[in-house]
Amino acid sequence: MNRRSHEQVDLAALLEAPAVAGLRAEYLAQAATRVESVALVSSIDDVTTVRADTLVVVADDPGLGPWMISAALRYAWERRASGLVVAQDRISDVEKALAERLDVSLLGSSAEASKVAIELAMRLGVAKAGQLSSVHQFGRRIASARSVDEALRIVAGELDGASARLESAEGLPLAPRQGKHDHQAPEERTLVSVPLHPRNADGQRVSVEVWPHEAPYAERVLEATAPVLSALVLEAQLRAMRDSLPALSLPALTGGRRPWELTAPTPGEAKAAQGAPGQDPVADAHLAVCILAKHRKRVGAAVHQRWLKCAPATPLARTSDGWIAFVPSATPAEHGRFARALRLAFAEEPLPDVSIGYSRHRDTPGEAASELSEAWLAARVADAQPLCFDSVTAGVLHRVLPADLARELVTKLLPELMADPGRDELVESVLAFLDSKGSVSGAARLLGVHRNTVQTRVRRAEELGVDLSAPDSVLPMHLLLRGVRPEVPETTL
Amino acid sequence: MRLSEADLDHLLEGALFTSCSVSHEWCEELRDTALEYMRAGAPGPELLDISAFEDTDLIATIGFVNKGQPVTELRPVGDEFVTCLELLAEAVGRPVRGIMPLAGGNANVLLAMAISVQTGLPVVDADPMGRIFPLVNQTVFTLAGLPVGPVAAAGALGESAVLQISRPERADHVLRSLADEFGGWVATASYPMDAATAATSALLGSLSQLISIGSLLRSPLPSAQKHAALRRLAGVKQVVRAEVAQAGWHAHPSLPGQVKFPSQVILNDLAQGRVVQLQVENEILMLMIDGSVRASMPDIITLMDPESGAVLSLEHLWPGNVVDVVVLPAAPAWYTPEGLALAGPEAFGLGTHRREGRR
Repeated sequence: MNRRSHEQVDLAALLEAPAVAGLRAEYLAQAATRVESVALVSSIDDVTTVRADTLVVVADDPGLGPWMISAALRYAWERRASGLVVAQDRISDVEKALAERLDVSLLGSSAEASKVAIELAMRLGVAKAGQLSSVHQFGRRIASARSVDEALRIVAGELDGASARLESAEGLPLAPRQGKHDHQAPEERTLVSVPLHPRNADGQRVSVEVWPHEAPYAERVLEATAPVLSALVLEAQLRAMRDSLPALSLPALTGGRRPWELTAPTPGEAKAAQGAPGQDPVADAHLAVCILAKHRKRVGAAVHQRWLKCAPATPLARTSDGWIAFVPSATPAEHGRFARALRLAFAEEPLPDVSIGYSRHRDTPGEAASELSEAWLAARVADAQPLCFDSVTAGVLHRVLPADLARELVTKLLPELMADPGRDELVESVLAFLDSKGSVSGAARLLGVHRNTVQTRVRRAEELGVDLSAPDSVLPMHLLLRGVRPEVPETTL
Repeated sequence: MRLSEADLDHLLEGALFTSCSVSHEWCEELRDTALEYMRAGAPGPELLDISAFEDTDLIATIGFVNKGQPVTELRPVGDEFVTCLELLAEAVGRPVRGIMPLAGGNANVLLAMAISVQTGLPVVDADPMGRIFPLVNQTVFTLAGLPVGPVAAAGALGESAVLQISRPERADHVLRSLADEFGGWVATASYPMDAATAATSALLGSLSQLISIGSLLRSPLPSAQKHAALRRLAGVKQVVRAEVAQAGWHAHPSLPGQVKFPSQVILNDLAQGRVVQLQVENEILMLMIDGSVRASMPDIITLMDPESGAVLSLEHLWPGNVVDVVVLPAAPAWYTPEGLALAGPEAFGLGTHRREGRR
């Protein structure tokens, strides 16, 4: 069905009571005929220039030979005109036979052609205005529908009880059919069908079976209905998704303990949990994800939208300060894949005041509580990027000493070091020395250089202000220098 | 070449083919007239190519012009055209050396043969229409700007006239008035011209082609093979085989300044059930199928028997009869703007409708 947004009036409706004075339908086309405009022509050749869906009124001319009506019918057929109106006495059996063969409506008029044309044009204008008003009023009624079923009932009621239904892309019914289905004459009805989403013609559709002459108006009604139905369907889906979420709460999961009090189960507890239904709410190998949000309600829709990109089959369970989820993850590779997908989904446009953490890979099930604890802790430490518990220490550093603060402090406290051309090598050497617990040899192995090189650089750093003499200053210096050259270890993916 | 009796039969068939008319009777009678002379010892009519004439030989065009009265109603005495030729020669100041029929179809073709046998004058293998048109001025001579006159006219009652007419369209009006006065028809000799002029302006070879067409039509070939052969010979196309459903033979009263409407015959296409309409006035003016104009003046629209392939007349257009409607193109000169203005659809009150397949 060709979807057009402008007004559509059917020829049969145009000719309905009260009858147009002096106009008689000699043949009405079988298919529903739209009338967009009325044209009065004085020459048969002018019929070749009319637009489609035009009702053509031919001015009577004594010079109009009988074959000219035949030619006019042919032109009307070629131009897809709504029909042809000619003087009644010009119509013989031949013209009627030809009109039937070409399925072009032919009307005879005993009144003057110009008067007939004016009357038809006025009727057309009134009909279009009436349709607009009807559709507008219907639009207000359909907007008040609170469910898909109610919306379909309103549609059926508007179309005299016609059978209305909502179908999936595959033609499966998504809601009970509303209205009465006319089993007695199904072949005479016309199916009018409109997609719910204008850009997805192959998606869900709302359809109705009506009589052919009602099809144009039915299409307008369905076009007004589609957006409302689309919203109701999505709302129902969201509601269903929410209703299907497991009844999971932290207290139920943690037994009342706070997240940071959760520990890994003892071997005995784990063994007891395995094969004991109900002991662990989450069976099979998995990882836990915790999403913390300062303004949960504000970012909820956005979080869900991003979550659907990386784990569409796993619903999020709502908590007081965010969401949690348990994602199946049987192998380290699966763990890595999910981690990548999670980063991609939330890294595109980071959400404000949202942090995400997830647990390490576990080979055995039955450790949901411990995994949830890891995920929660990682979320507490994470910044804009999702953080695995594996890397939580690196995250801690960011929480304790943000990188920009560290840079400012080092620049102020160790200006000579920062101005030295060999600054980067000196800082690397000092950090390797500290990472190696003060072992020059260990640092040399880390850096892949001779121990003498390390020794020389560390001495040089001390000369430039790096104080490693006092125990109290070692940790701060370690933190400061780490902040200058942060090395957040990449999670092995 | 001297035409034999068989040639005359072929010529008759060809002349009827290119001018589907009401009755074949008058044409047959004219052929019989020629045969009568031949059987009495006269040599058959001589059909000559224009090149056989001297450039200055006077050629005249002969033909009947009637005013609604069939020639058979008031039969010719037999000397009307001889009188016309003599009067024309006298008016021009030279003897007539050759004649050509006024129309390349129907009775005037056979007339030329009969007159040829009667007078011994050769017939030029040419004519100025290439088919039959109702008006005297609807000739390629008019398109060429050649004068129609002087025109010699003679009636069956012995009356005659020589008309000095310069405008061809006036000739038709005057001759028809004369025909009315002379008893319903008038024999004419017109368009006197040198053979050299005729060589460049007439439709050469038209009569020999009629003989070829007639020979094909009279052959024992099956109908389908005749159609194929006619297509190769003259571009004849079999458009539709249809059964006559309704024949509205009626005369519409004409309004001042307007052409009267032709009669309409309705047929049903046997193969596809299409609605076929023929507009007929003396000959078939237009063919429409499902409202679309498939052929119209100056196209030659004619009828053939589906079984035998023989030529049919308009008398066969009666309910229940099945006919083959065929079309062949007229001479190219008629499809020029000037030709269409003189003898196209508008000249016959058929309007300027677009015709399928032709722009």
